[in-house]
Amino acid sequence: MRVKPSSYDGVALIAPVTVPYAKVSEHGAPWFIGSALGRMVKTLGINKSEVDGLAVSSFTLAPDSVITLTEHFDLEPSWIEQIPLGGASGVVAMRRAARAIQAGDAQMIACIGGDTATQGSFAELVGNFSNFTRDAAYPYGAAGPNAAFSLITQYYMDTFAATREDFGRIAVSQRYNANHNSDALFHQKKLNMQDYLNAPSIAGPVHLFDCVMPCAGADGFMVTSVERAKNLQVPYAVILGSGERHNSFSDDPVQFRGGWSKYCGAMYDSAGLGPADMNFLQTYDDYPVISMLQMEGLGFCAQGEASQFVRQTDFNFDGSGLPHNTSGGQLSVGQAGSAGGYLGLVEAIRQLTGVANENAIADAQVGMVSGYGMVNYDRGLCSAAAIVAKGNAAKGNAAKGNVTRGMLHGGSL
Amino acid sequence: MTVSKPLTPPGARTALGTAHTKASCGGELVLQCCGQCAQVQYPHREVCKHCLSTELDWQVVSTGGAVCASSLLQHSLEPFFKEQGAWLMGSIKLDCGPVVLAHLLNECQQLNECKQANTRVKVINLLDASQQSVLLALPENASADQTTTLQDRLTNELTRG
Repeated sequence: MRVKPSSYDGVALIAPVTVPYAKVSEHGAPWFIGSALGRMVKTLGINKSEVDGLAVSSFTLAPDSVITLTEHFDLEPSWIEQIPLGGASGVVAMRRAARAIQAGDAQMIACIGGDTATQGSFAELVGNFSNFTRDAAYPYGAAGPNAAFSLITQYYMDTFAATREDFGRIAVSQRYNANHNSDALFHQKKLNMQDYLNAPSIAGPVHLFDCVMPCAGADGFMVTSVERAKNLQVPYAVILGSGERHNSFSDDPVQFRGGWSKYCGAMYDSAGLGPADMNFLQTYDDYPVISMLQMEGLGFCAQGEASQFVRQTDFNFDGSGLPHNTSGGQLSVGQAGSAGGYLGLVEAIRQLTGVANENAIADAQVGMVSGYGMVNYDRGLCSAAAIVAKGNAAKGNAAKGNVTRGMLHGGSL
Repeated sequence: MTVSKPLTPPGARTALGTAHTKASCGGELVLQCCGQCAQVQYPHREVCKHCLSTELDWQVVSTGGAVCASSLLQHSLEPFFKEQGAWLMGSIKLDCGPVVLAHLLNECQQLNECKQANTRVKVINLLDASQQSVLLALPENASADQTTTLQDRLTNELTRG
């Protein structure tokens, strides 16, 4: 019997911010995290002393941590959390913060993923990522995540007859979206399918435009109560359902699925919605094949059928299909370390609160955000997802009432 | 004029990785086995993944396995592999249980490219030029001559051209 998680009633997501990305930076991680906090406080017109909760995710913050940042930023929080979950960090930070708001442990929680990048810092991070990595992955060619994901990609292609063009559809569409997002590192650069297919191999089937560009930057959002958001008179988003599961299907010899399928039914039940109701999908796109695993795991198509799905679906923000990674995603915005795990959620909140860039989706009411992260050895361990919706001025969790398109397809799961 | 250091594969290991190097001279393939439930473990760990026993010992295990996926790496973060050029590695499901990442012989790549994802291989320990034990996958029927090229590439230090 499935245990139903309690609702996220009364919780509001506000103040989505991005600290512009840079390929390298002389600044430390606190510069990016603190800048994100500064932008949020300014956006909301509040005093920083009103921020009584802080959740951070960063690969380059050590030896500092969330507690040392409280002194750095001179905050006095009643609740702090550090979420070291890579690409699942944003959704997980939101989940933890939402429960703290409901429990009354804090009133205004800043959730921020931020990292710096210097010449050579990526190699250092990769080689020392974990004990399993050091002993059993890095010595085999020292290619970093490209090696593990090239094996995952090859296996997926062999097993499900996926082609490079399928991955290319995701990359090309995201570049189109990035061309309409001035925050994207590749805002000015166009990419077509021929460019994608002509790119050199980096690791087996993984070619240049399947890879993200490591960079510096930060993304963040604030979690508070609906009541507080209304008092501040700011637009907000709400959480209709959410889940996380880690180290799923550990017996699969190569990863071709993640934990999403373990909870997506419950998540759709909570929301009273199904995949067809989503106005957008934001996946964690460290490589296109991983976005396809999320499309399958979250019920947008059946297991092994993502190739067909991407061939049939328009992913552009202004298309007629399912707008996907509307910011351009990490593939075209850049991967600012842990900020990559916040990018999709921050973009979703932007779309739902009417502050998206030129890439705004027409009438976005509700969408799916998904996270994936932490390759300890040969696969990503974390999965997390959430259905988020535009806040309704009438009631705390009345956003469901806004959804009109193809409602209640959740039973199909 | 500065004399550049010879290049070696990445040699940083945890204490368990170093222990594996010491233990691996005891047989063709030596991995941790649980003293309680006998399950073979990989990557090296402190606690049995099955029964959580801490009684893990290095033991000789069966070398047989099958290729899951392979990849020809074109870029590396380490100078040793950068100098070597394209490098073939892959994941192997061992008959004794775990999935291991291993250096692959080129002959295995050709088989894998024929969509033989289940190509049979033999996985052995090898002391590489950093003096650490690594895993090498060979065709099951590989001759001694066939293994020499890759072994040489892994066991010889490189000098920058």
